[in-house]
Amino acid sequence: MKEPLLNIKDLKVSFFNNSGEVKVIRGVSFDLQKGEVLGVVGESGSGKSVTSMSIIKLLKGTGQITNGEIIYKGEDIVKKSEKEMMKIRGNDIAMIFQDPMTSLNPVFTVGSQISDVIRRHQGLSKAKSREKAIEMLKMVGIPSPEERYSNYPHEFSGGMRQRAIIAMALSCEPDLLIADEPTTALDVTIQAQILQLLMELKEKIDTSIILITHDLGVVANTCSRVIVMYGGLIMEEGTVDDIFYNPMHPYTRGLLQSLPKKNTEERQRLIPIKGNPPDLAKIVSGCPFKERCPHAMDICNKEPEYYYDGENHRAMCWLLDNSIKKGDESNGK
Amino acid sequence: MNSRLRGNLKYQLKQNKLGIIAVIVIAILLIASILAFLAPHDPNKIDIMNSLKSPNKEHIFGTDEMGRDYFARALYGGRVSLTVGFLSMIISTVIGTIVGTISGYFGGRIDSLIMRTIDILMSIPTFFLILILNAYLKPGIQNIIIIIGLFSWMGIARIVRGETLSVKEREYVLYSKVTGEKSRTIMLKHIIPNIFPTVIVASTLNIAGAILTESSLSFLGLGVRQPDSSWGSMLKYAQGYIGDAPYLALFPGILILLTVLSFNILGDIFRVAFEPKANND
Amino acid sequence: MENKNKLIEVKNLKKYFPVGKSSLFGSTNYLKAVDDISFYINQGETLGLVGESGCGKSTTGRSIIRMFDINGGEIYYKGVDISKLKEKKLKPYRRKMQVIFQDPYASLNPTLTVKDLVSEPLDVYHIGNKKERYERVLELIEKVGLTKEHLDRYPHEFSGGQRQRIGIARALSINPEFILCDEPISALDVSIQAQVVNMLEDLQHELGLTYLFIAHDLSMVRHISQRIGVMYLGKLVEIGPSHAIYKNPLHPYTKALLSSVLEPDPKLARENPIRVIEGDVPSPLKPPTGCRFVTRCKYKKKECNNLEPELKEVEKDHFVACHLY
Repeated sequence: MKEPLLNIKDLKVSFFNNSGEVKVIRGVSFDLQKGEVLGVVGESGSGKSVTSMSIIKLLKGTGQITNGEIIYKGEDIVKKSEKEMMKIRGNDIAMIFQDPMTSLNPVFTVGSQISDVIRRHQGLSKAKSREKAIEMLKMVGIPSPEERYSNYPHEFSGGMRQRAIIAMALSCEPDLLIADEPTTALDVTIQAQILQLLMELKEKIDTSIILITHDLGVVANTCSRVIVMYGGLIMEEGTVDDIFYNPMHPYTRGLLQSLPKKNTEERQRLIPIKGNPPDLAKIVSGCPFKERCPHAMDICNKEPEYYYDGENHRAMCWLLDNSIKKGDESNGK
Repeated sequence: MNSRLRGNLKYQLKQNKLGIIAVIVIAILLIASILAFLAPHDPNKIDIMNSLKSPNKEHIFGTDEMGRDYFARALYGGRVSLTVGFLSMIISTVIGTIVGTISGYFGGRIDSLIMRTIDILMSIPTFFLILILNAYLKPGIQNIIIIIGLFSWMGIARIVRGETLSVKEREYVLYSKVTGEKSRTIMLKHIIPNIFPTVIVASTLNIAGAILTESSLSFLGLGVRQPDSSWGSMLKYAQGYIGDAPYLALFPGILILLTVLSFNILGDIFRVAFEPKANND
Repeated sequence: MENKNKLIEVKNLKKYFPVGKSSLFGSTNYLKAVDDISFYINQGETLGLVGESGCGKSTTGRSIIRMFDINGGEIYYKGVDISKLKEKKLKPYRRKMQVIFQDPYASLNPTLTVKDLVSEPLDVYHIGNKKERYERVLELIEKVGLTKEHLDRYPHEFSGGQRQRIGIARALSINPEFILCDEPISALDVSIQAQVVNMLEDLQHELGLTYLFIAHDLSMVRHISQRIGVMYLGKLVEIGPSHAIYKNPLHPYTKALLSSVLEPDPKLARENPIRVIEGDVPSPLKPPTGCRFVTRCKYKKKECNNLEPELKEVEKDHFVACHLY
């Protein structure tokens, strides 16, 4: 197997507040191959966004990486200084956030914000970087980019702003693009436009993408591999077909079942997952999903290890343990 | 105030050493002025033989030009200054909150009318107005409190109006409206409790302002009259002896400074603690 | 159509918002959030209202429950025009109409306990004494799946889904007939959305409620609604039974909207790559003349540019506003 672009090993992240330490990421390991689109799925409190912010070391507030390695192109990002990170961010690893309103500075023109990024990372002249910025605006499908270059963010619509942000993120041709809920704030027709654009550009400039989302529709339409997170742990990892057609973990199954079915004439009742998303401050040990799991057992108080189905499809659940599988029928539940 | 805000406040106080000092200073001054009657000397007992004695064992702040114990006078003066501060703050906060909420909630013509009135009141040099009014009224603590209270609510009203404008668009207020709740109840139940943190910040700063105004008035001889004392009036009488007995000006001066500074710091801590962004979850 | 089973009927509803203060010169600009739309909601049904942001779907719903005064048209509740009633006369109707909001964070007053929140409508209408109110609140809170221990807690102690349940309990407290569901699930996690939708359906069956369900999530709207209306830039472009809208969408915008939905099915996704409708929604301050969708429409004809299409019945109960039909 070839060297992965990104390799995260046993990452743990904690936040420290009034009442002490809150473990938000509790041991996450995965890797990302070059040219891949990896979907990270999870609900609020799953730790999916914190994972991505750890990769560029931009944890908010009191967040700290307490354990683990983030190997990017053979170097450990955890050990890098802030100065070294400044060079990596935006240049090697770029990021797109959810809210196109707040990702652009309202007091500068859109064009100048893009050309600033280009100038900072590539050392081009003012005129050259302007040219490049206009080229980027054109590439992301903004009509009459020369005029749009000197518009302010408020003169752009939501969809146009997200396009401009993509232009900015891709202007230095990063090897890794982290997109954190890039279309959640957008309308459906605009969401489709933006995702299509992202997939086209990914081919064009040959970048890898980590796409963080809660929307399984987005994942099914864009990703090749998927990580399902819950309570700061990876519950299941596999190819998009593994996850959608052969889910191993009860949580993944629950997520898929809770969606409304499409091709049925009469209305079926939805099948929700019972309970509420986890309160990270309260999880002590064991499987984070145990409170909501229909199959919860005593042993779930102990954290399960990963069970593999093939080389790339793994899930963390005691139900997959051979000894429990056998006992399952006799126990009933 | 709910538990989350209380938690934030505790956390901010823990983080901020200066804040603890401010709270301690205010607490000491409060207790000292309440317990002023326990002072070893009568603040008004004249003893000409002992006038202008520098601080010593017997009189730790020394004595003034009429031989009165300066420490006892400072304690009683503090009582006056703090009373004026708190009571006029309460007057201005109540007026400011009511006017501001009504102005912001109803909007339109009522709002324009109130805001223009405030603009006018704020463009009058209030201090001189107080001076003039005070000259016509009988000098005394009561009048000072009322006058300061009546002329310092405009800032609070403006802040409250701004907050009200944003709170009234929140969905729980809209919900109340479409459920048929009366405007008065909406303001009392939904708007004022939610702008309360902001009001606390503004009124804490107002205490400091009121104490300063009272000191200035008394310094000009328009506030507290002899034989009663306040820190301001003590400063006034200290003027004449600034060469011989500089400590007469020093003690009340430091006390005013400490008090005003402490309230300002406290106000700042309230502001940070109540800011929604300040909690890290 | 018979009049008696229509709970709500909206005729030529208009709601304009002034934009910016009128300057010394020139007149005030108006944002025509809802511009002349008509529809009805039958008793006991769920009407879904979909459209992109700025299309006026929320404004429509909020006009019906009289959150603000409207600029034109009539709103009939059981045949009575409530659109111009003064607050006093309106109060009995307010009691019959309730609302559940999108943001469970903003829709509950953070300084009140659950008990106070849920009993607020009871207090407004002076229903029962203190003890009876307490019992009613307890009954409601258990109905939505919370417990007695929750009564003295504050909203920030709950998760989004739980807060939405509190909002539902509050809405139910005065036995309304109609509930405006203003994007009630958009802010919730996927696994919680299904819980809330199921609860809304159960309550509808049990209490005979009528819903106006506003959402931008088309798959959930299809699931919960009997009929669906599609809005675009302040206009109702299509309305009809759910299955007809999904199986046989008539308006080009409805078609585009449906094809933009990303199905959570990778095989389907590989077979049909994302289909994209070009362009942005024009500014609602300067909507196109004629058909509002003309700037993005693939099928536009000459008359679309200047003649506004009327809503007409193409199939039974299925109306569309488009010059193609």
